[in-house]
Amino acid sequence: MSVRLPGDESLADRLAKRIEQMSPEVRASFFSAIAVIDDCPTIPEERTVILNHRFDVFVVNPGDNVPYVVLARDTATGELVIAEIADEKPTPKAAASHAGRAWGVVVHSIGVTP
Amino acid sequence: MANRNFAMSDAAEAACTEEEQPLRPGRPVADLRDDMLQEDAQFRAAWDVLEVRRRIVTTLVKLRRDAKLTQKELARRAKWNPTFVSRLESFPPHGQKVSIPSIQTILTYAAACNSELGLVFGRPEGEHVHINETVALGKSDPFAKVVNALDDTDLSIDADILKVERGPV
Repeated sequence: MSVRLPGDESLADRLAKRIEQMSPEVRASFFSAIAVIDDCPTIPEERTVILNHRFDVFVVNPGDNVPYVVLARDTATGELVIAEIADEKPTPKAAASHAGRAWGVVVHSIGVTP
Repeated sequence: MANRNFAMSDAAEAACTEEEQPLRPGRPVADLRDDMLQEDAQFRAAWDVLEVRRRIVTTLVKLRRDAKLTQKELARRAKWNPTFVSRLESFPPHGQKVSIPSIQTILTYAAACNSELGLVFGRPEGEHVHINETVALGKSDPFAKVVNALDDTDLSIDADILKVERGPV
C-alpha cells in the first residue's frame, strides 16, 4: 500500500511545499526512501509510538542531511500517511501529535515502544 | 512487544469510547513525485542517479522483511553496528557521487537473511536474453548448481511464462 499525503488538506499542502523546497538531491533521497517503503511494506525504523491503540507511528531518517519523516499507519486499514517532515528528530509525544493531526483524530493515548 | 502507556484522563477515556472516524488519506506521495519529475529537470537528474542504489536497497529490505528481521536483529547476525544497517538502507544526498554497497556487504547482508547471492551476466538479444556467465558467491552447493545451470542459456518471457530455450541442465 502506497504512502500517501494526509487527508488534512492544509497539512498536505504544507508538506508538499516543504518537499518542493528541498534541493533536488535531498528531494531525490527523500522520495527514494518513500519508494522503498512503497515497494516493501516494512518501515526501515522501529515503531516509535502507538496512538490511540490504533495508529502505528514511525520516525524515519531517509539519509544524512535529509529531514526526518513522521509516518503514521492506521492498523485498521493498513493505510500509511506522512504526518510531518522535520529537521530535528521529533520526540515520541510530538510524533504522536503530528500523527493525530494527520489522521484528524484527538490524541487520547500514546503507547511508547521501549 | 511491551508498551508503556500514558494514563488517559476520564474525559479522554470517555471520548475514546465513541467511534472516531479518521480522515481519508490524500493522494499518493508517488504521484507528487511523478509531477515533480516531469516539471523539474534537476530533480529528474538527481532521481535517476539514485536508480541503482534504490534497486539494491529495495531488494535488501525485501530480503530482511522476508527473513522477519529488524535492522537491529540483522546487525547482530552480521556482526555490524545497527547504525551501519540503517545507513545502508538509507539515501544520503549524493552530490557528485553515489555510494553503492560493495558485493561483500551485500553478501554478508544476504547471509544474515539466510539467503545466497549470485551474479548473472546476460546479453539481451531481441526478446531473448542470452545468459553468458553466472557465479554463485555464497556457500551453498545446491544454490551454486542452480545458478550455474543458467550458464549459456537463452531465456525469454512469453505471456508471463519464463521459457528456457537452450540449457545445459
